[in-house]
Amino acid sequence: MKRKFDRDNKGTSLPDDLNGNVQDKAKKLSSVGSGDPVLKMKGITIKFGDVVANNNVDFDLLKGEVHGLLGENGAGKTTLMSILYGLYQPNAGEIIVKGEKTTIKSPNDAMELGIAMVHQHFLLTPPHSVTENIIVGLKSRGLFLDLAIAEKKILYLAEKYGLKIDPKATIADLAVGEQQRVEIVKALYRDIDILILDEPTSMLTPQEEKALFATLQSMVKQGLSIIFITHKLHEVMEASNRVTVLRGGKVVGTVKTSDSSESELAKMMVGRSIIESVEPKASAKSPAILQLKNVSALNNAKVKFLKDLSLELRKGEILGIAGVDGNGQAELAEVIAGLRKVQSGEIIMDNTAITNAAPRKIREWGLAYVPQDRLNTGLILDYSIAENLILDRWYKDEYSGKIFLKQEKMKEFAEKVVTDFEVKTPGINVPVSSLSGGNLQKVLMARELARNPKVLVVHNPTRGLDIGATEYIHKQLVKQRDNGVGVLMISLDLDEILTVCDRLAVIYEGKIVSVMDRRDANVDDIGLMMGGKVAVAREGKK
Amino acid sequence: MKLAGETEAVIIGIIASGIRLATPVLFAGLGEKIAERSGILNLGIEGMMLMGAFGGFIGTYFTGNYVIGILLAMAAAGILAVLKGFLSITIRTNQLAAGLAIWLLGTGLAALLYRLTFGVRTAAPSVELMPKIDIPGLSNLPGIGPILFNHDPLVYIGFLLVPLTYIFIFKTNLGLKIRTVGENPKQADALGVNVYKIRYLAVIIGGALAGIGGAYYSLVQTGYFLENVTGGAGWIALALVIFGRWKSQWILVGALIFGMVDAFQLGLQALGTTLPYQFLLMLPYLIPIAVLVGLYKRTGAPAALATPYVRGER
Amino acid sequence: MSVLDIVTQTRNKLRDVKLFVPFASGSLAFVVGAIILGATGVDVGKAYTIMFEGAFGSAFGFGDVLLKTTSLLLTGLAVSVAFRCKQWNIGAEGQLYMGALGGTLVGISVVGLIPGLAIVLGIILSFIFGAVFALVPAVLKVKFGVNEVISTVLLNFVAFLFISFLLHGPIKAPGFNPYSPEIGDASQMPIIFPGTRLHAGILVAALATVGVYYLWKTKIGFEIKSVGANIKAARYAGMNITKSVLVTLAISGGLAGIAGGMLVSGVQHVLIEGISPGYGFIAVIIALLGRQHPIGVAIVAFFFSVLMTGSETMYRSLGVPSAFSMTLQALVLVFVLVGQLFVIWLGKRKVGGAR
Repeated sequence: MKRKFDRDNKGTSLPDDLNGNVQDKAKKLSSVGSGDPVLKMKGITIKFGDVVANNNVDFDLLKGEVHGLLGENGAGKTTLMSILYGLYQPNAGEIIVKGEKTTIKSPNDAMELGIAMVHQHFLLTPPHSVTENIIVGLKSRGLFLDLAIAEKKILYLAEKYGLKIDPKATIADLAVGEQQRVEIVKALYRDIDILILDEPTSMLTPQEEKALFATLQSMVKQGLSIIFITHKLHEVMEASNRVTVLRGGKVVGTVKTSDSSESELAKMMVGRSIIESVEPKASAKSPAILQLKNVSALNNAKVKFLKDLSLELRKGEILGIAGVDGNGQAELAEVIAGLRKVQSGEIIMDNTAITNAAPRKIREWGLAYVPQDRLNTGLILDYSIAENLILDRWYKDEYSGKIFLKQEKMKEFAEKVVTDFEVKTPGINVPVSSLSGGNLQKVLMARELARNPKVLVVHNPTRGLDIGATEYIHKQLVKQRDNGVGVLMISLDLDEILTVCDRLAVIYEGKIVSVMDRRDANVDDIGLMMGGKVAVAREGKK
Repeated sequence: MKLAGETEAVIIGIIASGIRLATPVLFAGLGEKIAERSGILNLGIEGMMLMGAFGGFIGTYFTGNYVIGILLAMAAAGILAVLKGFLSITIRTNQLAAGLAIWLLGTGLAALLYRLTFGVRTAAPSVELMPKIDIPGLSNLPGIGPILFNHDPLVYIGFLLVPLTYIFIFKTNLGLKIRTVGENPKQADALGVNVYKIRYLAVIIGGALAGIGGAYYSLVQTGYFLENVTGGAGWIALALVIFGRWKSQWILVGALIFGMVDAFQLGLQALGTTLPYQFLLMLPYLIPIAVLVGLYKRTGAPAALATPYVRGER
Repeated sequence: MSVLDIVTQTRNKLRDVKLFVPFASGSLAFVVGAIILGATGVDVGKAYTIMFEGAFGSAFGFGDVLLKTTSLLLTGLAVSVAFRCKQWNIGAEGQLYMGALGGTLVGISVVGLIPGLAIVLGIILSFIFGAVFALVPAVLKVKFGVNEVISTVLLNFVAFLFISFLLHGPIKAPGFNPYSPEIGDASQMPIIFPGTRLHAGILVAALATVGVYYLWKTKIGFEIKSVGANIKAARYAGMNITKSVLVTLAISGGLAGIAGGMLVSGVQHVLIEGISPGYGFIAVIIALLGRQHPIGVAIVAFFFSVLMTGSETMYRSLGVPSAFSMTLQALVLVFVLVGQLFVIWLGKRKVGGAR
């Protein structure tokens, strides 16, 4: 069968005989020569409430390049790309695609401009076939599905870009790497010029990662321009031509990858000096109150996520766990609280083995846990403060008799908490859904702390809270520390860790890669570690 | 081995009757399957069927034309379906509450409108039963003839709908959109599919088909409109969809089983059995429960069933 | 809490948008009802006046209102208890019939007891019969994952047929009609208002309301509520989900059963098919409207009883079909559901802080 191949690097246009379910062709790129900007975002600003997620961001993409977008959590990378893909509208700024100013109001608009996005969490339908997942939503010529033509086109694209893919396979049967290839072909199928990948390697094995980078190379050779969002330094070094680093919603800088290094990028990504607002305590002499020894556990996708993790928390200290989201933080908290099965290894709290014990027992043995999902798992929004406070202990003699709950005791408890923790509420009987985030967190903490725990695990304790509430929570944590409680603070906010913790550890891909005293912490090194570069021994640095 | 002629006739009669008894739940079941494939759970089928029974009756009574009756049945049920869609898709209220409201509204409204139209009469108004159509040649075959080829047109349409709905859902572009909306509405939305429109379409089709199923009772089985004439058929249809794993061919099997059991117990009564007929009448209701027990949690429902979709909810 | 506090709280509750909107939107149902009546030539003003007079115009009429409230309140409570745990019990009608059976059996076998004891025994057995029947779908759900909406609905029909079978055979009274024998005098509920049909059952219903109110203040009630409010949080807190489901459905079925028992011992004094005009189904609407709070359920039950009683009068005087009341009740629910949109929209306008 003869095929007419397109040799002019005009994006992913197809030979005519494969025009089955093809969207209207995107504008031709002939006016844009290789190396010219195919995309310009100027002065992009977007606010969510009081938070400025993107602050006057300039970003451009050259034709045929792979451009990495680097930054920590909350830096604004995904937000910026979501604007490009039409999911959000910026408050200010302009977008120029292929030389023409434009507004992108929906994913449909983006697709018509030749922009496609592969999300971090795949949008696929497991019971359907690869082909069905790819062609749904496209304008079609007839009533009936023409899978045969679609399959031909898919195979053509697969060959062109060096992607192994079986159009007839069912998504549910595919490995993560293969599913990602489906997502990529889904994008390529729509005749695109710009491809955005959001954290593309978060679920891949090293081999799949290599294969992906090879694919990216063949894609740009065919004239595609690629943006990929990541927090991993080695990825950026390996796969990109240029890198733009975002921090706190602002652009720190854009550099040519070959002119830069991991340390420089890490510095740009994380760069800040340590603010000493809380006096760190030297705790080397304290006994360990919580130990994890070679703990391995699976994540929700049944992939090994905690890999031989070892960690030690001492009495009377605050140990921070720093790292980029998705490196095992939630899983770490859950194995300690008994909410996730430990496949191998052990967890010991105050000389008691708590590995895989029931959550209630672990609580009774002295663990307090404030999960990051405070609204869904921790509290019942329709309940009052009083009711939420006894959620985990309503059966105890303190709060209930033989049949009835002791309303008076519940009221006392609630009033005490409101006073001690300065909870701002219209009353103790209103549903907690009317409380602000900070006050909700106070109620949750109060409930946990009322147990006089030995170990307190908090996960993203101040996410979404205002400054006043944040300071209050930090004060509480320090108070607990001073009382001899071991506090494990898992946080995506590096600032928070650097201001409150005595020691800190960095988690990366399910392992603790480094532990240090806060006084010895070097922010540049931390950035490297969060980005995956395991700590290089630093001699004699203070 | 030849059976005694009389028994053979009875058995043939039972099977043929079973096919006819299966038809209303088949229509309703196929309709609900389409709706559920898009993610809408409709507990109000019973109410829609009753509106269909009423619509079909009134249309045929005043015009003498069965086609008008069927169209009116589809419209009557369809209006309720639009309301159900409005509650579930636009207002995003709890789908169970919305379905129950539609069920009771349909039940009450059908009875109310009937009484208001006809008042109380000594002789209840009736329509002539829809005539059976003989398929030339085939209906004279021994045995199979009366069983398969001597029915009213709705039976044939119902049978045709089985492959038609299968083709619609699995072999057309629109069907793929419906399925994707029901499994992963976010994916559909990101690829430019109008999730709301697709769901409205699916629930209206479901309602229209349920309406035809209801009309069957008044136009083919009884010739009257009776309150609650459907006797729980809408709920059976709901169970059938789960039993049939959302696939047309299995819904047909389920409907036939229901029809046969119903016909069987009627036949037993005719033969004069000593078994209390009430227990036989229970079978059509107990069997779906037994099947659900047997399925034991492995249902294979569309992933987004009964979950309202909001664009931009992360 | 002083009387002044209660008054203030009530006044504030009434002003609360969340209560006002449902009342307002529910009233729209009457507008639609009027349209339907008008379109078929009924004098709307006259119809609604007669409805009101039927319910409130005479002692007998009002007695009937309270009589229906007995049934609607008991079934409404039954369904609301289940709904509070997010168990969708659509089988209250069947459970009612089984309870009626239980009460009848006591009534026709235990003839010589002192009246109070016979009545109490009847109530207990009605409860048990209803509870056990409701435990069937409950067990099917916890053990086999059978969706309780389908199982409870289908079991209604099983219950009707079973009762029918009994009434045509085993417990049939001599004669042509499929009735049970009349229950003994000791089992019959005393009329508490001469000149009406209102019997002591209303007191039983009131007691049940108080009972459900206090149920939510017990340990087990707390667990049930939590499972219904947020099953994830309940599980995380260590609550026993299975226990909650079973207890909930048992109580639910039991209350519906008592409703059935009251129908037999209060008015008919025999068990017949069709003894309930669908109270168990209307109870679903009541539970949804009453927001699962016993007082709310009581208010809606009363209101619906007024509707039903008035509707009967409309039928006798004007020939308006009895299906009118069910239609109206369903419309109230539909409009209230639509009204929810309005409340949500209002809530969005007062932008809350980020969480």
